[in-house]
Amino acid sequence: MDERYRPSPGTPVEELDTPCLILDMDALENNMRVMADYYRDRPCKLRPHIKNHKSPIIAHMQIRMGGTVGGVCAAKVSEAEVMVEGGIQNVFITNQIVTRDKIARLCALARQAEMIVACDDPRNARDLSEGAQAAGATLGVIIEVETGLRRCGVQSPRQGVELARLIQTLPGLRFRGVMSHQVIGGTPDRETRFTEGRRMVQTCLDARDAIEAAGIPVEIVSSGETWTYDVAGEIPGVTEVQGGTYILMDTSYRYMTDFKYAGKVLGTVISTPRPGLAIGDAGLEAVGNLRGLPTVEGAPGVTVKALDAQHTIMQLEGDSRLSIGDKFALIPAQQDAMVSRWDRFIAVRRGVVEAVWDIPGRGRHN
Amino acid sequence: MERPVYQPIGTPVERLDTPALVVDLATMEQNIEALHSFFRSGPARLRPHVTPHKCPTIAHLQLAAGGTVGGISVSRVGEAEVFTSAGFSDILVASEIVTRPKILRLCSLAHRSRTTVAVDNPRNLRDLSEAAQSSGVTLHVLVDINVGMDHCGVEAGRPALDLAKEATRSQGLRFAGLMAQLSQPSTIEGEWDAGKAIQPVLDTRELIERAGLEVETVSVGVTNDYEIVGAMKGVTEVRVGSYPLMDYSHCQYVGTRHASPPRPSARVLATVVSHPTAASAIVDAGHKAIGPDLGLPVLEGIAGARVTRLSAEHGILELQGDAQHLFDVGARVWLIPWDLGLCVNQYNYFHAIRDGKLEAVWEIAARGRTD
Repeated sequence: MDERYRPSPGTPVEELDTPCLILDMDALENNMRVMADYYRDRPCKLRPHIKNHKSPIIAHMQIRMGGTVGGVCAAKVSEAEVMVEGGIQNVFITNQIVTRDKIARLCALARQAEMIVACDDPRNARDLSEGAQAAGATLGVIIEVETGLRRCGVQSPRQGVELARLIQTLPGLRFRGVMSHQVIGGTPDRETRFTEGRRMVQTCLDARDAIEAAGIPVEIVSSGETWTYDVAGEIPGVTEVQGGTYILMDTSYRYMTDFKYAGKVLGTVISTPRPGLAIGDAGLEAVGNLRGLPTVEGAPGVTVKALDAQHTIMQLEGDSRLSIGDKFALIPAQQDAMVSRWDRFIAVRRGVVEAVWDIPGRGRHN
Repeated sequence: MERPVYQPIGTPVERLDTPALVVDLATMEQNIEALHSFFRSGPARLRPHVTPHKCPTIAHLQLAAGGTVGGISVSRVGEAEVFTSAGFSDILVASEIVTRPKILRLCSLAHRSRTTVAVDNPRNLRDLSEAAQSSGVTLHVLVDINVGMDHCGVEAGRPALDLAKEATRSQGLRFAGLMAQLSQPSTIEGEWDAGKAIQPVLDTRELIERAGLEVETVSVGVTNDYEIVGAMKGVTEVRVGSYPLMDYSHCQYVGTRHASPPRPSARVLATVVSHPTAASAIVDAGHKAIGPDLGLPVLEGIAGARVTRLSAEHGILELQGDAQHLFDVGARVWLIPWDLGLCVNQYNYFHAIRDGKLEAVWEIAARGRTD
């Protein structure tokens, strides 16, 4: 969307031109409230992951709602820059930052805000230490522990202990704790979620135990995400949970029924070439198909059959009808991938535009 | 938006911050030359479809290479606005435009450039006509013919003729001819005959001409079969988009049919951020930096290394044999996107290099202009 076509607050949704990215404010607030209510009186707190919405204004709303550590997670140095510029004072980059330029930017941020970074490699720890010293800053460091994701992270408690010992000795660094990130496939029931979640988080706690047994205090155990928010939140020893998806939600998390769909793409039917087929103006460039095709909201007889770069190919069944000019809303299977295609959110409450918010972190891959 | 870390022109490519979308200019120029030389000898001309790269700088290079109609095609009104501002004076919006705000924007563009739009429905034709009249402009329309896929377009033959007649009668509009979009077969196997697929459009042309209407343009969009379609009598222009930058999926297809096939000129530069086990390495380019909706990116030229999955910010490489020693933390990795358009859609800048050095940084000015 171009600056010239930014809709005014008060505009009815039906008058929005499409495609556009919609934020349903009632759903968004519901999702923030569920998390705040859960964490408010627990020792474990939420640290919202902002890598999906990439917007300081939403990060501030998340923190204000309560139940958080008072800071956020980010995935990239550039996202952390956006957050710190936007007034967030405490950022944990849940990834390894390895190049010299990026380490320098990270340490520059650490002069302005409390910065924590994930680490899984001794040489990287030394590079971080050099960068921090050069900048006259202190970096918090959290060791990432592999718990089944087969991605980054130390592979055993012993490796964790060795790395923690090293970090403790390095000037400019402050060892803060351990983290892990877990995924689960399909649509698990509650029991499976709890069993699998506890099992994976335990691997992270095993690393913590080993590090503490070596005489090194572990202040933070950051383990958990939207699908384990109520699992990890109850495991003694877990101090914070990284939740991101919950705020916008998507159909791949449809089993997390406490949360409502808040992020959607609005489209318009542009062609009805034959009965049973309607073509819309929101395609891969607008919504994406990672983890599956999007779902048409509130229209059980309408199915997205395919997406090409610019078009929605929809199949109509039964009494379903769509005419040229009709609007429809798509709920993504993966909200993160959807938002990363947009520069603005249109915040809508009960059918009326409430605000238009830039997404300053979009495209900040570096 | 993307905010690259500033690097002076001349910086060696390995020094660029990552992930970065990098285009090798020599390869791109070869790709452009190969396709444009085909169209320079006619009879059909090329109308570059610029939506995949969204970059006016590249589009100007394409028109300068000759063999074109002198104009471009785009998919969106927002893109048409960007390219009109960048100096293009003949733009086809190769999609149906139905909402009133967009139709009015289209008319606004028609004040300054020749603006053509696809149409497949009589009501839409009336809406376009009304807006063009009230704006005091002429919109050129091409009747969009569906050539057998689940997509936009009126049926060939009589329904297309009826729409052409109505377009001719409509004030504010000029019936300019026919257009169609050929789908790319998802695999290279099986029977695929681009000529056969496009024949109904040529038959419709004859039908309309027999009815006494002039069909100035027959514009066919193709992904790969430009030589077949471009040589067909009656086709006046061919819309091709992928060729300057290419991508892995197009190379798979075109590569089987050319002696010196075009090569991917745009790739993503990434950095290894973790090497947790001997058999795996993790890079800093995930799905947000690649756009893998249609397929995973490909690591070319390193035997034993491949991309097995992408999470949002991580690319996961599987390593076998000697490849296990090539991916230390900090090492640079080149990824060829499977689909270039979806990759470009994630970036705001191309880093243009020649002989391994940064030559320019080009804005992807129409990125995000899906409006």
